[in-house]
Amino acid sequence: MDLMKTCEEVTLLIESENYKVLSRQDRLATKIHLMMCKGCKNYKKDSKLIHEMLQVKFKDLSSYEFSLEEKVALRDKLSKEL
Amino acid sequence: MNTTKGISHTDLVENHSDYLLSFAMTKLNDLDLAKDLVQDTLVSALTKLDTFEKRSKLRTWLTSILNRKIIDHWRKAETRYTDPISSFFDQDEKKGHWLMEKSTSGNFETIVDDISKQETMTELSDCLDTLPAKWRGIIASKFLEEKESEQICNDFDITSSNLWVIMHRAKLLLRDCLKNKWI
Repeated sequence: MDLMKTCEEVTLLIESENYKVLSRQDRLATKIHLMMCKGCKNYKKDSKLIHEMLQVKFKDLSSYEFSLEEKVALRDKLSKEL
Repeated sequence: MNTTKGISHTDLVENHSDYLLSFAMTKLNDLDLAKDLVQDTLVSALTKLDTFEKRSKLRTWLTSILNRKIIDHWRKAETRYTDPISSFFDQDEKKGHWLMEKSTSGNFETIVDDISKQETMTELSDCLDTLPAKWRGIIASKFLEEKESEQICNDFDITSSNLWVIMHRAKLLLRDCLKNKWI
C-alpha cells in the first residue's frame, strides 16, 4: 500500500473531498502527509476559506438592470418576432 | 397587444428581463454577452410559448432557457489553456512538491476577518475573472445553483475526475491571485 503522496496529489485529494468520499487509503495518506507538510496544511486551511468565500459570493444574484432605452428596443425586437 | 397564453412581450421585458440579466451576469460577468443571451432567451421563449406549461412558473421556465444558452456558450468557448500546475509544484523527477515561493501560507484567516466584506468580494470577483471562462462557469454552477457534480459534468461535457482537477487548478490560481492582492 503506497501511502506516500506528493503535494500535488494531496492537494488534489483535498479538493476532491468536496465532491466525493475518499477511499480509506486516500484518507490515511492525506492525514499522514498533512502531519509532515506545512505547505499542504496551509493549503487545506486556505482552500476551506476560499470555498466559504465562494459560497458567500454566489449566495445572491448581483443586481443588474436594462436601461429604459434598452427595454424599449427589446420590446420592439420581440414584437417583430410575433 | 399580442399575447399568447396571457403572456405578452411587454410582460416578459418588464417583469423578467432584469432578473434574467442579473442571473446571466452572476454566471458570466460579461455585460454585453449577458444582454445578448437574455435577448436570445426572450426571443426563443416567445417562439415556443406553446410548449410552456402553466404548471411551472414563467420565471423558472425562462431561467431554464437562459441557462441552456449559457451552457451552450461555455461549451463553444475556447477551452485551450496552459495547465498551471507546473508553476505550483516541482515537476522535476516527478517529485510533485510545492515550489518554495508557493508553499507559504497566505494566512488568509488573519487577513480576512470578515469574508463577506464588500472589498473582499470585489477582490474575489477580480480573481474569478482571471480564470478560463469555462472554469468560472463550473464554479458558478456549483456555488450559485448548487448543482450536483454529476449534473455539472453533463452540462460541461467533462468526466468527474476532470471536474476535481479543474476545481483543484482553479483553487490554486484563486489562492495565488488573492495572496498577491493581500500580501
